[in-house]
Amino acid sequence: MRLLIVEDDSRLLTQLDALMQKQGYSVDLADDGKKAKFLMQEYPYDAAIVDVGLPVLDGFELIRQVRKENVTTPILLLTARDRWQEKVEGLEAGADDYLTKPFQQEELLARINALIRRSSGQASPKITLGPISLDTVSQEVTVDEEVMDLTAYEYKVLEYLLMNPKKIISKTELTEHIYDQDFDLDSNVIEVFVGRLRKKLDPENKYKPIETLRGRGYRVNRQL
Amino acid sequence: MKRISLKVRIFSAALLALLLFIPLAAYALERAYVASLTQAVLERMRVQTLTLISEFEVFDAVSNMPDVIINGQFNIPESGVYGVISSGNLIIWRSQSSMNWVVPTFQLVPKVGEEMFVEVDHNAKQFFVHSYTAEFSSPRGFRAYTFHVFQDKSSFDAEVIHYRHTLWYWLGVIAILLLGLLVFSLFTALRPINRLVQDISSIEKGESERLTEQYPPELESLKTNLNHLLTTEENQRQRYKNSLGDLAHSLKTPLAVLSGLPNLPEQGREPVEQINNIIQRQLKRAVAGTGSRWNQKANVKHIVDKLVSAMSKVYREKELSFVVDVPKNLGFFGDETDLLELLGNLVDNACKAAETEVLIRATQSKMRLHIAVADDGPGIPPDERQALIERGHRLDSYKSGQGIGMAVVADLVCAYEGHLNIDNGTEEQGLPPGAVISVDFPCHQSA
Repeated sequence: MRLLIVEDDSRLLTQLDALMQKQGYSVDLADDGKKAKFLMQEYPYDAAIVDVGLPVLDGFELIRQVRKENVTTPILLLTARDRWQEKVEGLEAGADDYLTKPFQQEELLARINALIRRSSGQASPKITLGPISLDTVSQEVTVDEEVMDLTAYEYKVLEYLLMNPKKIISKTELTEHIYDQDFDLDSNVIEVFVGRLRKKLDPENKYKPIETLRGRGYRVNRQL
Repeated sequence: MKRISLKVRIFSAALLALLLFIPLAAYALERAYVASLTQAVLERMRVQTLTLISEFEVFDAVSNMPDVIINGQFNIPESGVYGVISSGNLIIWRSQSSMNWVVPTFQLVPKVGEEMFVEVDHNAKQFFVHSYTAEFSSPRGFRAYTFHVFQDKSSFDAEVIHYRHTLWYWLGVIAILLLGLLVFSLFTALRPINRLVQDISSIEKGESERLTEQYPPELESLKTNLNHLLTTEENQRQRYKNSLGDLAHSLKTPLAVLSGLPNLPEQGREPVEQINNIIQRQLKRAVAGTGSRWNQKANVKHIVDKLVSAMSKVYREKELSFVVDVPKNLGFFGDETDLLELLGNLVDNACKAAETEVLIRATQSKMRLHIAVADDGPGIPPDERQALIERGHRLDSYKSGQGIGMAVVADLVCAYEGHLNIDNGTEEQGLPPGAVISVDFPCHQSA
């Protein structure tokens, strides 16, 4: 899952970056509204954390402008001004949720998680596909009740695929969602990840959880 | 004097002027008329006296007067004009008109060659008397004769009375016309003031933001000043709120960094939380009720709709159904952001507690605006309600979440002189079974 964090306080930005990376998100950072706007238009983030008080372009205006350009990325508004007027204004501008500073890190993680789930149409934090079950909170994957040992990137690929079960997902799309902008990886790496995932999840090749659609991308096997 | 209306003041001044000047004018005019009329009488009587003198002859010490005088009025009895000639104390001739008339005694006669014009009372009647003394020569030397003409004054009086009636009649007509004119010009002069008052009251009602009408130059500067005052006040309020917001922002971001430190010990978390609560509440308290001193109304429905749309976004996963029972034109006398703050906290709490439904109902009785927020959650036990309402809470005793929200609500309710009540809903009231938090505010109708 790829995440954008927009915050002008460098200490908080670094802290949030570390927190989110630890949770396995690919994180991009922006410290003013204009940069953030550019990034949001350019990359399909799975969620964005946006502070209200930003230089150049404030948070409300940023959200208003990207929403006008049909950016549907779920946005969590981070605000120090906790009057309801500001919260309502932010939500009216197009934010999906708000959190007031200071916040508990657990709270922030839960909200972001919920936002991403919501936007992909998943009501519960647990996604299941036949014998495979993925918990977005604990980031645990089980097959037939047996806990799998996945690397962070393998988990990211599986999570993204399971979150979008109806879609055919191209390698480019997968790359964009599991890496942040600093990486420029060969799409062959994705093939490697998918191959390893298949082996780990289905060593006997009986479920076939991930289908390959030649030249188009991957899709989870909805027959399961 | 302070409380008398401008209309009454100007009207009474006009009336006073009329009451004073109309009689004075009448008096002066009458005096002038009587003086000129008297002058005319004098002229006429002088001629009559001269007539008598010209008819009078003295031959050999014997005076002679013809029986019939040229002037007809001397010859007709009771004509009201009587001629008498005296010499010393003797009446030596009297006109035919004075046949049945008693000649008064003469106290004073003018000196030779002089005339006298007086009014006398005689036989319950008033007369003008014109006398002239002339000397006639006779063999025994010069002898003085005094010629008197009496004229009944009643026709003169009748004329004066007639004049007076006419005068008062016309002056009355003029007074009424003047009064009408004054009242008309009074209202014309006051009309811009009335418009100004209406203009101001439309600002009070929140229908407009500035004085926009055109006014005469005298009021135009007042309008400019008022508009300036409004702008200044608004800016000041905005600045105040902004600087409080900035303060919150600059305090809370470091707090967020602090509370996010991975190695912050557990003992450190509590003070951070406490500082946060204090900032939050005190700043909100500082802003509460600092709305405009003008009686501006905020539309309740508008605010509730805004909130519900925001809340349904935040609590999308709970799939709550919001019931909004708020009449369209209901107004809250106060600052819009304060009502939003108050309802925001109440509705947020209700959303947290609710299972499926949140109801917001507003009604208005004569003097009070009543707003209730209800949910179908577990409700609040009676023994905890009072503690929630009481403002006497010590700041550091707040726990995160509900506490601070309710404290802010209590502060706001207090700032607007309202009441806060917590209850559980019943079916008879048409309310879900959970908590019902209701607030009501006095409606300051602008007089």
